Amino acid sequence: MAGVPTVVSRRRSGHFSRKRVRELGLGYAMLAPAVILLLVFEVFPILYGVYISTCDWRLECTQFVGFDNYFRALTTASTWHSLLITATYALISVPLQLGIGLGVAYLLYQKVRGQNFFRTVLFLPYITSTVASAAIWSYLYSPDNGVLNGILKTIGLPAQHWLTEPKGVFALMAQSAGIALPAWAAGPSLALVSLIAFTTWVFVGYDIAIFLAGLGNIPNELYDAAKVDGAGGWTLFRSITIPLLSPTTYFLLIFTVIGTFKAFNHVWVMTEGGPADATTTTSVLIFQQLYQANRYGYAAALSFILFAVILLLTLIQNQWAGRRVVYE
Amino acid sequence: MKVSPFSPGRTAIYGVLIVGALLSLLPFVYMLLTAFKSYGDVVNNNQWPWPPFGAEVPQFGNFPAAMQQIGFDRQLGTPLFVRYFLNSVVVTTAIVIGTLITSVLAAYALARLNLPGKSLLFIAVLAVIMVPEDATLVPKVVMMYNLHWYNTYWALIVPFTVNVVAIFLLRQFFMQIPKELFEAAEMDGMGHLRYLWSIVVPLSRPAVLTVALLNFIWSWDSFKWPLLVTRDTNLRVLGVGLQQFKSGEGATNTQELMVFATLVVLPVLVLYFLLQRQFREAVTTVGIKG
Amino acid sequence: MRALSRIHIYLTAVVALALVATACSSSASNAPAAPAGAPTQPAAAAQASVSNPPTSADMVDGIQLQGKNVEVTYWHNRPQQDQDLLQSMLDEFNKSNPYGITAHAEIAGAGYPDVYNKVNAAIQAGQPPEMSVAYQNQAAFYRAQNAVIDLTPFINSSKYGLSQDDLHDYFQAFLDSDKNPQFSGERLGFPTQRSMDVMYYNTDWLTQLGYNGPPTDWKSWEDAACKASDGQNKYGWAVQHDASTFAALVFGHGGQVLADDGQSYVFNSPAGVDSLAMMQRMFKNKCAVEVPTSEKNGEQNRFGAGNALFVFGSSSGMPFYQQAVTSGGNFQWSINMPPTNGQPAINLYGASVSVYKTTPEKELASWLVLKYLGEKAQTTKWAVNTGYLPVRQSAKQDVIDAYKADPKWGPVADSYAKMVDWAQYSKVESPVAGYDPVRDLIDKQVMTRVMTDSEADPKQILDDVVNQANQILQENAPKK
Repeated sequence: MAGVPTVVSRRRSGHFSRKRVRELGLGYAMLAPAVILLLVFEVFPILYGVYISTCDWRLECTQFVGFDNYFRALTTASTWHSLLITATYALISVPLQLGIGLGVAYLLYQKVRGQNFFRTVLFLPYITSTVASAAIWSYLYSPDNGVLNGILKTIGLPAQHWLTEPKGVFALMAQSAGIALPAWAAGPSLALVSLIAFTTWVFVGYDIAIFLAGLGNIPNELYDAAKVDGAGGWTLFRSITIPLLSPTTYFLLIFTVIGTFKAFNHVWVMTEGGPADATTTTSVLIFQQLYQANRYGYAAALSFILFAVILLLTLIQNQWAGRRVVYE
Repeated sequence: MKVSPFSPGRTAIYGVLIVGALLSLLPFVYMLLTAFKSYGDVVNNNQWPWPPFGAEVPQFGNFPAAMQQIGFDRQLGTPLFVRYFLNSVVVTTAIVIGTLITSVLAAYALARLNLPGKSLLFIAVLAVIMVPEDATLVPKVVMMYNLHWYNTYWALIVPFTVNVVAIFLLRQFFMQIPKELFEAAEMDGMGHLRYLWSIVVPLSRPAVLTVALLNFIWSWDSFKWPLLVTRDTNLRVLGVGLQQFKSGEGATNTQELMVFATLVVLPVLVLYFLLQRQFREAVTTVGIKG
Repeated sequence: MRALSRIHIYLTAVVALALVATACSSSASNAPAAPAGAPTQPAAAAQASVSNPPTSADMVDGIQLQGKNVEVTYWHNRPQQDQDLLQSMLDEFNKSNPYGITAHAEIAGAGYPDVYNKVNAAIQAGQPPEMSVAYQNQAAFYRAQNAVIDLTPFINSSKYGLSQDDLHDYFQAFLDSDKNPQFSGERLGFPTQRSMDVMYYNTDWLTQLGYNGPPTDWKSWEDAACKASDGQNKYGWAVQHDASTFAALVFGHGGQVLADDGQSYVFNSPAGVDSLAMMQRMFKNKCAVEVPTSEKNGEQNRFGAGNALFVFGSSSGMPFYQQAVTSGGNFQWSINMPPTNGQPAINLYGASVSVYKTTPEKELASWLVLKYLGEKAQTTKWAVNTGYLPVRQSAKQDVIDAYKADPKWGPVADSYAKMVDWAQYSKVESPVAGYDPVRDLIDKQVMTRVMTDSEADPKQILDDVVNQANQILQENAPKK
């Protein structure tokens, strides 16, 4: 198999060979449908959004203000606060989602009985509509007649305010031991943590499904060969699963970061950014500026600031992961 | 990793899975149970109003009631629910097919073909989904007006026939297929497209199915966009119907909301379950000759 | 095999080109940034003296509708049942009006951001709806961009307007709430419904606690609420995250949200401070419980289950409260005006319908639709089915009779009758542009604050928020 193709390609190699040109043409043609659709339906509106962000926009560009909206956004405390909340939200959610997702997917991938059942059940939270799952979790968290507080009361612990608790989790724990923590050590608010529990529950099923697809791509022969050599569970996981799963893991990492930074629906329906601004992520802030304050240009500027943050993070991940992702 | 049955490792595995399943299932079960409750049970937080703890009967009537609640379609002579359902099927299927075509083609080009500017293009494509949705929503709707697609199926379908997540996911999978396979195919006289169609796609069945399923899920209960770009009820979809139960100043009849949510999620569940077998079979045929 | 690949390429390229061609040609011909007003039609040249929008009753009189077959679209955010009712009423209008006007109602969304988005996009695309539901502050925002019109000339038109008798039949408070102080009293909307923030109370429970009737002053009310609370799951007052509740307290304490001249916010007055301090006290002493944002209508459920003695909520919720109570604790209940410190006051709210700037003919047609919906028969039907108040005083008895005739709504009928008489004590929160972020501030920085912090100083909180609110007011004021 080694001989003929190499000879053929060597004879026809070179930048502008017919084969090369055909490949280029084909490549761009295959990309064309997706790229054109994206250009028309995504890029153009985004460029228009940039235009809006340079205006004092009230149903039309009443005045061109250049970078004024961006400047104002970057010098307003609420912007930075929202970025802090968003970053905290992502920092906790991403490892949690991916860790649990990978762990459970791997377990599920062992020869366990009832795989279909487990796979379907674990996927349920992701496909249930947000309205319904929010109503359910809201009932769980209800301070005066909810399930969680009911359980806490029966085991003698004090009821919590969950989604309406602005105090930090560390401060709360220290409080029950009688210690008062300084403000910077209070930790994320219980409201934010409760929210994270909800969204993790929603998205872990998605992560599991993707990980399962990725795990399915690893040939069993590799495992068998390694076992013949005497490798045990952890070694198999470390030297075979992790590297060969890396394309999938990379994919999920990128998109989970993007997703958590943009998170809006679940946050809005559970807390609307409250209590006060304890769960006001940047997307929530953008929503408020857009629909309540009618500050179109400002909201657009905020959107692009968030975009820049996400882009930066993605590029960093791309750099860091570049070498670590194994494709073949 | 074969472990003997009933070993502590095995028990631990089952333990974790069962806990996970319970956590995922309980809220879903709550949704299902609430769909059969009466409004009084909802108000009183009555978890199990039926025997043996209570004396009520399951409210099967909630289902037809919820379906009637969103209205009647005079044209079809059925509850609007049927109309919305059919629309959702048509729109979602078209979106899934469109997305599969555009993403498989694009992912292959990005994964396998040697194109200058590929990585830049890749980042650019990815950058598109990093922009939060709200800022671009109104410009997109205005574009629908300008294209004269407002209040047509075009507006509901075409903008969604491209999906960056799908492209990326498929690219990852396609990149894992060894180059040698293509070279062998090329020797047999196959071009890229033929290779893609007869070898790559079948080999990547888990990924392709996942992409199809995910796109189905994402479009199935969408409501924000359909509400913005349609005016006729006979173009509207299930997600819009679900919104009806969230009226502002009235009561949210939680049990009716749950009924509707159950009806909306059922087709997706069925689809997922049916696809499970496809996933498993695909998994076992993946072995590539080394 | 090679030939097949080539055909694939060509096909892809053709499809791609076609898509690009469609997108480019269409978007080139209609620039997305359409100015806020659509161009007036050439036919308007016939009435050369009519400006768009018409600025005097005489101009309105001069508009001709015959033979024009004007179509009007009305966007709202009610559920399907209400849409069906509304359309059936409009079908009657379409059949009976002598001008050939056809009106069509559409659901434009389930909530406020949906309709708002849709209207914004439509205006920017140069195709606004002829009329839509809009809150007073939204209408003010649109008016600042000249996208909605002043309805006063239409109301005053001798040919098409309302007679003095008709005008007086409307509840004056309703009509007043649409006059915008930022725009010299222009009427930027017209009411088709209203509701009030009433106090729901559990009669049986009050009797158990030893009261003969609902407390009418704040001190006794607070005492009653505290007596009812057990700190476990029964509370005197269940408080939802709604700025209107705070506004109702302020009105009841004799204050206002916005100054009469519309130039500044005044809810940090002594009335405001007293209201907030009371709320803070009640949370501290566990006489009140917070309804989390995630629990939609949670205050209704708590009331219906018999776990909340008092709740402040929209009067349009009465049928739902009735349902909740009969399914829940099944007790006697009623409504009353919030307690006062002497001056009765009740928070009146509700969206009106605004007419967008299109053409004089369409604007007139929209006005005629509004006029029709406000007539006694229509407003009665609408009120009975939605729980809103009718806009005409003469409809009051018909609505009450309709409720009485339905055995399910018995107690509601009596409550309803009481409420219609309170219209004269109506107060309105703030009809100016930029009020929505202020509502958010009131919820998140005023109400939420005292729910969780029993030490914060109410006066300081209010001063701070009023400061922010005034800045927002300035920012949104029409540019002179």
